[in-house]
Amino acid sequence: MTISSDNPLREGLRSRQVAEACSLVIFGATGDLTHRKLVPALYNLAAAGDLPPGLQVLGFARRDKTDESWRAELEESNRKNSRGGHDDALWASFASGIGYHRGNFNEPEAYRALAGRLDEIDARGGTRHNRLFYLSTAPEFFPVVLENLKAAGLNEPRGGGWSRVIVEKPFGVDLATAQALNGVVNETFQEADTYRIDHYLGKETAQNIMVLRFANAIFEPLWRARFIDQVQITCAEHLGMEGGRGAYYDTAGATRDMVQNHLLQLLSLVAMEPPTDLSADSVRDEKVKVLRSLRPLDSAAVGENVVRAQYTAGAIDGVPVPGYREEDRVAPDSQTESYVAMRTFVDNWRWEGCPFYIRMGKRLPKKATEISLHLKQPPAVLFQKMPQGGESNVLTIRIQPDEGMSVRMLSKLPGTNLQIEPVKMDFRYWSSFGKGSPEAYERLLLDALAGDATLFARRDEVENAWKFIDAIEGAWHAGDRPPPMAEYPAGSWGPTEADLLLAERGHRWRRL
Amino acid sequence: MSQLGQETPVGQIASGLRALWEADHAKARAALMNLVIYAEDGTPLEEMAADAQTIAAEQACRALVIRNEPCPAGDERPPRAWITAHCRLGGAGGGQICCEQVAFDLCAHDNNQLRNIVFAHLDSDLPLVFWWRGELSDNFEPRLYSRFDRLVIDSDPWPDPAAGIARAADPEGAAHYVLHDVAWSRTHALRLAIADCFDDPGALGALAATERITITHSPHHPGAADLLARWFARGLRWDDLQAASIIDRQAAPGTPVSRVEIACGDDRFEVSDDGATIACAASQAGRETRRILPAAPSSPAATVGELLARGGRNELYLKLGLG
Repeated sequence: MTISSDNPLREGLRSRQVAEACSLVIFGATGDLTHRKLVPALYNLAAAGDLPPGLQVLGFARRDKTDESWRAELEESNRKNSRGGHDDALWASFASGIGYHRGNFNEPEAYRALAGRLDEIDARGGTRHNRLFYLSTAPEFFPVVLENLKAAGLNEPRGGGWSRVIVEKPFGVDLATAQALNGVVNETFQEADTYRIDHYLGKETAQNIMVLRFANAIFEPLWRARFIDQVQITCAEHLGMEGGRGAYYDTAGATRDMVQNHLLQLLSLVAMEPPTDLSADSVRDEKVKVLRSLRPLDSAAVGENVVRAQYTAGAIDGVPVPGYREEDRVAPDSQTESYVAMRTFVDNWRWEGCPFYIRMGKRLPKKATEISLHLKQPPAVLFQKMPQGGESNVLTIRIQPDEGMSVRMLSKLPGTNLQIEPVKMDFRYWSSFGKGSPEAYERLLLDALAGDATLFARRDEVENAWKFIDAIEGAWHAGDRPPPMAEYPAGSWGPTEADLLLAERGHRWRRL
Repeated sequence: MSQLGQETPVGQIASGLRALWEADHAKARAALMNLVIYAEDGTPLEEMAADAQTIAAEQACRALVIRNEPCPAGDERPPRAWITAHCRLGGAGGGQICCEQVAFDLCAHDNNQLRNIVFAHLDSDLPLVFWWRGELSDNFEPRLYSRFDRLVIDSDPWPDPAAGIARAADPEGAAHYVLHDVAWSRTHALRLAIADCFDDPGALGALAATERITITHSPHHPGAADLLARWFARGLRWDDLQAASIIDRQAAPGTPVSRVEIACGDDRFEVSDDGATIACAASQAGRETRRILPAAPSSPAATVGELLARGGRNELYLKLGLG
């Protein structure tokens, strides 16, 4: 049963799709993501009045807990992690719809019991036989959870309701595993009911890319290789392998962990053609065309266009930190990159010949994710005294943490001489809007409840991204003559080789 | 220096503001709109400045706070002006974010002075939101309102809201600004809560069989209750006679609209606002549900801030058959 679009009292109240009441089952209920992100996101939605009435949240995990003890744990973590603070009355109202279901992921009986419990919830009314399953577990449990959901019949819509699944990244570790996982997912849930979360797409500034491009007449005419010289996408992290994260990271690396998903999603949004409408599939059709247009890299091309590196000992915030291979739970002879920089091309009409540079690194000087479009130089026939090494115009979109955008342009310095220097026009979300942006998970959960998949990755997006990445990983790990692993001191902006990659075309990394 | 800031000759406001920023480079100036808060009813400038501060905390703006007490010809006095900035700490480790405010005390015997004061002190290219407190006067004239992007009024205390709204909504038959009525916006949170009750198709079926709606409102806010009643009538396609026979309005102390009860056969829906939260209780098809939602903003300034944050064309309001 779906929400009634005939509610006459909805007129003029909301422009977005309305979230529908359902039972939300979180697998991995005792995990960090549930405590730090998911439940605070749901609470903040409730506090804003955006959650549908009748929503029931059911945590599924193997630890022995009761509804009450789990609620108490969640309340404590919500106090620490809620973006909008914690109100006891609102929490009490929200938490009255929270329950805990104990079970092992590989135990069919636990799923049958879950089905019974969901039926009881439906029988009480309010959830309308709608079920949303959130796989917030380690990826190795995805198949077993999905298979058991199917065996218990929980994947099938019933009673006029719907059954959807949210899958957390990583969606595989390469194309083959992604295809296998997608196969399992699609054997269990329809693709239209599958919501693959890439939390970058839930960020305000990522959503604003389409608005910036297609709601403003000033940018789109310039948004092409004829006027843009190069595009840079940077994701810099100052953190290393604290808190034992080396165990996972050393099996993944910067390319799989960040580029395959987040950064290629950003590249798609920047490079895509205008969609025919704002429906999920129209937007995703255009994004996937970009991924399919990425110039494939063979082994030789990987050596020429991609730089991988590991950090060596250095300093962050003035404090000495160890090198990557000395980090906790990282192999001393690790061949996993903590940094990757690449030059890629989108071989389509709009972007022919324009390089897209992507870099992602751990232990860089600061945390920042930004996209910059560097416009070509104007003819240097009038103002010969251009700033040394400077570019004329750069449009920057700051994804995080200082969300906003800026335009760099040249201006005459005050005075009787003709001196030209770059100046910057800056728009910052936090200075223009006192109200903080919602957390990415708030937006994404609400969209999944409303059945809007626009901000979720579709199967062909994921697989095309892996296809591109697999060529790089293959050259590094399966080739006869893998390109060398470069090094950079922790706290620096990456290896010299990455600078040389851009210097080949007279470019250089933007200073963040 | 008064609460309004530093008194400045009107002709030196621009340089005064520039000096304000030059004095402290740690502050960032922000503005998304020009916000004029205007009153002719004797409201103290300090009160209006406090409202500007409330709004600026979430909607960066250049605020022009104008008190105009029309005076007879011959008794004119020159306008007085004060400049200040409303600052707050930015997020993401940012410094102070500040919005300029210019307060004016006018004694104008015609509308030239008001128009000139407004036009001369707008931040160029930014939209103009004009919050006209009190009833519209002769100063509400085409050369002034032709520059508005949004006009905010509060019809609740007006003796003849329909006439006032008609004037505000379409003064020349081709209004190009968006009209917002605080009386209508006050009901926004309640309307959301009520609409939520009927998203369920079963409840929607019950809605079609509505027998009685009781709206309890504050004696000071009959307009909000009237707008709510019109909203029900429009949504449920009732004519005036049907609406009058089904919708009952009761005045009682409390929030502007403290309770809405909807009786549909055996089903009951009740949404109440105690100022702290909105409680929704439903008894439908033998099932009892209850939940808590955030309350509506309590002050007019907070209501205006919220309606500005929502933006939009506010078209439904104009379809309610007012004026």
